[in-house]
Amino acid sequence: MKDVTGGDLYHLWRVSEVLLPRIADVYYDANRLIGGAAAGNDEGGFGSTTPVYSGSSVTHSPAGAAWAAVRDELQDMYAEIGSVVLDAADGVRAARQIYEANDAKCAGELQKLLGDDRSQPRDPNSNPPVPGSDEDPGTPIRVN
Amino acid sequence: MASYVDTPPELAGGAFEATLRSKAAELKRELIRQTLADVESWLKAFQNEYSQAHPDRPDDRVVGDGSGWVRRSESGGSHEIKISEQELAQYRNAVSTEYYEWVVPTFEGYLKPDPDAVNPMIESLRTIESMFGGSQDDARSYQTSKLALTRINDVRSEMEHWEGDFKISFIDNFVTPLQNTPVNQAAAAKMAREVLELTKLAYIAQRKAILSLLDTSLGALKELSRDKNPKAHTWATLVGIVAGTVLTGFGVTAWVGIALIGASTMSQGLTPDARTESNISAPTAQEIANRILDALRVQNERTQQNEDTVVALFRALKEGIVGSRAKLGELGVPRPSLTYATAADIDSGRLRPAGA
Repeated sequence: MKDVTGGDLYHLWRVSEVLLPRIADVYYDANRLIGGAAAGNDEGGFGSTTPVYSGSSVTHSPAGAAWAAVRDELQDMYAEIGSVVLDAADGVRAARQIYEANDAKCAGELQKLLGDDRSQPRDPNSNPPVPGSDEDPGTPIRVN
Repeated sequence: MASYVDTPPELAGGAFEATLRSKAAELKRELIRQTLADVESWLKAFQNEYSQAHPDRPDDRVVGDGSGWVRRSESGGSHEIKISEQELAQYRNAVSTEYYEWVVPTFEGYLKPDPDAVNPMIESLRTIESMFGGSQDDARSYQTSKLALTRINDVRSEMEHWEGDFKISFIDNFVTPLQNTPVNQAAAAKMAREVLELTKLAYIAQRKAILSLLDTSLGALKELSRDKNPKAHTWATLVGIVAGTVLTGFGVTAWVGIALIGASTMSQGLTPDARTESNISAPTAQEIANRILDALRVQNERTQQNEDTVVALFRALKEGIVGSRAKLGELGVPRPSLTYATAADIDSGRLRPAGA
């Protein structure tokens, strides 16, 4: 088997630290769009026409309820896929750390690569998303 | 944007509320005025009030022009009497304060729902569509507007430097489905948005029909003070919403088939439906009031039908999403097995650098 090099680990670092968090962020953004400000304001958009029981003057809204089911499903789906992507990042990160722990020389090479402007540019797009920035996945809004 | 349902300004927000309230108040005033002013309407109200006030005299009949004469039937025959001005005033007062109290609150009930209440959600879904590669217009271009999603391909190329079964499963079971789903994500958001827009259209149509009913009723009432041969004043609900079928399977090509809202939906949805046409005109104000109530019942049924359509669409969409979430690459992205890897798994070479 080929020996692990710092360059090999660098590819894993890119995947878990730079790429996957940004992809997860798109899904979490979608989740927050559905579950955030827009939710809760949409109940007024449906007629409350159907009596709760026959003859009752208290009514509920089947259309509103049917929409809420779709909304919750979408919200949950985006949160789930975002989490899967972050879990995938965790797996890649764990694998890299296992190699780093087993091979001090290789770990040193990776750190050297990450510290070198030529191999690891300062461009924010080539680095992990800044915490709290637009690209930071943050946390999704879970369906109640 | 042809598929975007906009509430016409006169049916939106404060403008609609102001129009509805002032017309409902005017309708109530007109109903009262005509019940007192139109001879036939007044005779009917007079008789009604008199019978209620004198339950012991069921055979007495209001006669003349309604100025107070009643034919009193008694065992020996009948004769005409004039009731007191005070009693007459009480009857007039009853018409003014009791007959049409339902009018304003009944019409106020149509202030809700507000079709524009779903606008923030429609905007959110539109944003999601574009994030996942839908287009803002109807050109149906697949390009994603999110740089981040193009990085899925970068993940694939970075992982090419590795091999082993963890890598193969990572690419096949995670990266590939992840790359296939955005178009379906966009499709799901688009379908949800279009059903929301159809809902909005149904409530816009209701608002339009209600304002038209108020106008028609006022027109019919005005005929009462004129001479005979009254014109017909007809009203109809608007055509119900018609939608395509929600696709429940999200193939990669699903997008192309989605057209819940056609370009003509908006105009069709706001066209009067001849099948529900009814004449609001009648010989007396009271009968007109009854016809208004009948028309409202027809309108409520139409709204209910529209809501049933919307409910069926939402349910089909939800089932479709649930089903596709369970399918790899439709709307489902499973965790790669690497997520569950132990140190021993890695050490044994199940994820190893690709041989040079």
